Amino acid sequence: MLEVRNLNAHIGEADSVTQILKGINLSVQPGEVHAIMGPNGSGKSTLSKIIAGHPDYSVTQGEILFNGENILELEADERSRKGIFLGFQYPVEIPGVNNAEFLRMAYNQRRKAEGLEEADPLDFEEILDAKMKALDMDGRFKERAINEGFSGGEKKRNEILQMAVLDPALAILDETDSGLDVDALKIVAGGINRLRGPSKGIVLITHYQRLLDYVQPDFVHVLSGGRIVKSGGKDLALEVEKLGYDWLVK
Amino acid sequence: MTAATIRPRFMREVPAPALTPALEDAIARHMDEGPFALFDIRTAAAAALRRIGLPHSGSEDFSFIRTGELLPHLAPTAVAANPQTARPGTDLPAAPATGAAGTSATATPATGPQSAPVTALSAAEIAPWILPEARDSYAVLVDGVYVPELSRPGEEFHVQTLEAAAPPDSPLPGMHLRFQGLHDAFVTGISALLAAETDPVASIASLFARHPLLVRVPAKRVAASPLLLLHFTTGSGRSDALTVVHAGPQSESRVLIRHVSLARPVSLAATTAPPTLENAHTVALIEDGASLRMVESGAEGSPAETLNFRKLTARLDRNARLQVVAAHTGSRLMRQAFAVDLAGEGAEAEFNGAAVLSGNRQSHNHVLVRHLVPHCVSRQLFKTVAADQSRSSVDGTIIVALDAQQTNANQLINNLMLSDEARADSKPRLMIHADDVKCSHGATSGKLDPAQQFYLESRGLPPAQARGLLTVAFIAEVVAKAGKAGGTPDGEAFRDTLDHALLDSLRNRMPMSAPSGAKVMKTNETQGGKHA
Ligand SMILES: Nc1ncnc2c1ncn2[C@@H]1O[C@H](COP(=O)(O)OP(=O)(O)OP(=O)(O)O)[C@@H](O)[C@H]1O
Ligand SMILES: [Mg+2]
Repeated sequence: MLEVRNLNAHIGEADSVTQILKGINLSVQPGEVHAIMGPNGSGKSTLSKIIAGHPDYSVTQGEILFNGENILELEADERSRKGIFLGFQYPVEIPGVNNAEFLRMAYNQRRKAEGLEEADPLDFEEILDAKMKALDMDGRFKERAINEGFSGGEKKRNEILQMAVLDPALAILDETDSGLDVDALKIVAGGINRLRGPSKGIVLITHYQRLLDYVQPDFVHVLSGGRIVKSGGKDLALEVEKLGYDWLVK
Repeated sequence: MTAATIRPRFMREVPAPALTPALEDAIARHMDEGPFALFDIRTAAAAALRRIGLPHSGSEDFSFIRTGELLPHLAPTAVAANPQTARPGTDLPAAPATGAAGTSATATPATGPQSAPVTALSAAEIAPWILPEARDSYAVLVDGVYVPELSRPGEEFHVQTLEAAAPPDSPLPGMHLRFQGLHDAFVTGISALLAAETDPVASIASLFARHPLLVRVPAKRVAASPLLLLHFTTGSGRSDALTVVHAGPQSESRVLIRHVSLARPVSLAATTAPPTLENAHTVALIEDGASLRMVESGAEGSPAETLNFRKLTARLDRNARLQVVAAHTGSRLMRQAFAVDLAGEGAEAEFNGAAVLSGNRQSHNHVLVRHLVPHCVSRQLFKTVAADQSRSSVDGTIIVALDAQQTNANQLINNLMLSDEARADSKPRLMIHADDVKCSHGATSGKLDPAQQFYLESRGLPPAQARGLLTVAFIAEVVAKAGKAGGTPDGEAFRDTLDHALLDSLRNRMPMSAPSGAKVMKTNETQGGKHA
């Protein structure tokens, strides 16, 4: 469902260009869970943001196909409505925008794109309550502004809530496990496993094996210096955990 | 009781006039009109006006305003002083004319030859503007004139015309010059405030207001519902209003002020008709331990061509509280001015302004906060969204007197610029004479945060909806404070109204699906400015 081919991308303009991605290839089929690991600054978040349609990066070579369609020309919102979801490494706080209302708007945009009727506030509230309960989230998070004053772990849980509500075909989760306590990690992993299914693709960007204990990946990739330097099965993650990246980065 | 006997004496008392002969003439005519009970008050306002002079291009306090545009409309002309009694293009049933009850009824404004009856409005016409939280406590003013027949002030507030507080008649002409009995000191206090006024436009409003309104909250009264002041302008050319709000000691009250334009666009004549000048001066006297909250809307349903001037002059005594929230969408020229004296220890004043401007609309704020005694607090928060070629300004001065130690004063101005052609100025000034104070001011101007925008879009919101949401969020902080002014179950209708007025002005530019389950208050078919 996701085909990234020879993706080269940079940020900046003219004489201050930083090349970040140097020929990434990645193929995610329906039903698969991929994990991407790699040293800090290797380009993991950049890759995820480019797939989601972040306007700051320039793609100089290569293409990204989603269900056979080249999505590089699409805006972020269009990609989202086609079923691509990015769980941010650093979710922004948006004071003044109510969390639940925002979710309803996003949900209804998605439904509209699928030719379905918009959910009325009461119906949506029911859907939301159920999803929140599954993630053990306090109802008060509905009343709060998006991520405003949320703890690090609460922000990550909120990302998973958004994912659960939008039910994307492809979820890219950028370090959603970072900053979670042991119990929260289980809950978040539970959320990811609920999404998992034969029609879904999941990409987990992570530094730690512990998430992968709960969400077992089919493939593990190591990204370094803007390239995928090694791909393998779930054992690769265990090796990375034991040996670090030095043996891969030469 | 003819005024002719008074006028010459009055003229002699006044030093060399700095005003135009036409304006002096208008003042003299107006003083002749009566009611005589207002003589002292008008004399005080006129004296202030002569002392200050009319605003001009060099006026410090009008630095961001094109005074040339304002001046021709500022003084009432002979024509404007006789507003048409019917609006063009209306076929609404006539409401009882004001003052028809005759001169003996003290609560009914007297009509003189110059003060022609105000444009008639029917109860049905005003009904949509009555907020649920003030169903039983509202006062209606039409072109600045209180209309008791359309009002229902309720029990908690004492609402009457200022002149009604004075004896209706008196055998000696000289006796007309003074309010009597208990009111004497009060009127002297109001006169003193008006005489010390430094804003010439406010002086014009209080001088030419035909029947100023007096709103009193008795001592210790805790008013459960707010009083709604409904100011209607009918497109008759001008509206001068003076409202005195007197919050008695230890009282708690809320006053909602809603400005509504019922002017119908006069298709062909519209381009040539003079703009409506809506000029309202509110004087608030807040006594020891009293708390007053005021929420004020912009010019709802107003065509963009109007000139709107608002002034709040307030004096706070010991431990008094004043909270003001004003939200609007600007007009051809809108200016809100706040002048507050913190005159009793422990007093606290808070001003919050929210404006969403598009097209060529303007919004200017002028603030003068004087900390005269120790231990007072003042806060200011102005948030403006400026789109297209709109203009806004905040000109704010905080003065801390020599012995006003332990003062806490701050001012924050945030502008969200949606267009490179929009302009927002700020001129903060701190004049601190005491040494043990906490004062701060800050001004920011910025665009929408791209990271926030990307976040929303990455969840499927189209860019326009994302921008709209962020823009609304920017001013939500201020509008939310209007909600807090409500205490009844319905207490937030005005907040929602303000919210929607601001939203509507954005909607043309940023097609948004109505956010949330926000209840859409149905307003009026003339709602919504016509902007490019
Ligand atoms: N907006 C930007 N401006 C300048 N450099 C950037 C920008 N965004 C990313 N980079 C650079 O690109 C490189 C890759 O960053 P990226 O965030 O993708 O790394 P990462 O693999 O996600 O790292 P981490 O594990 O620390 O999250 C880094 O060197 C980073 O400094
Ligand atoms: Mg990263």
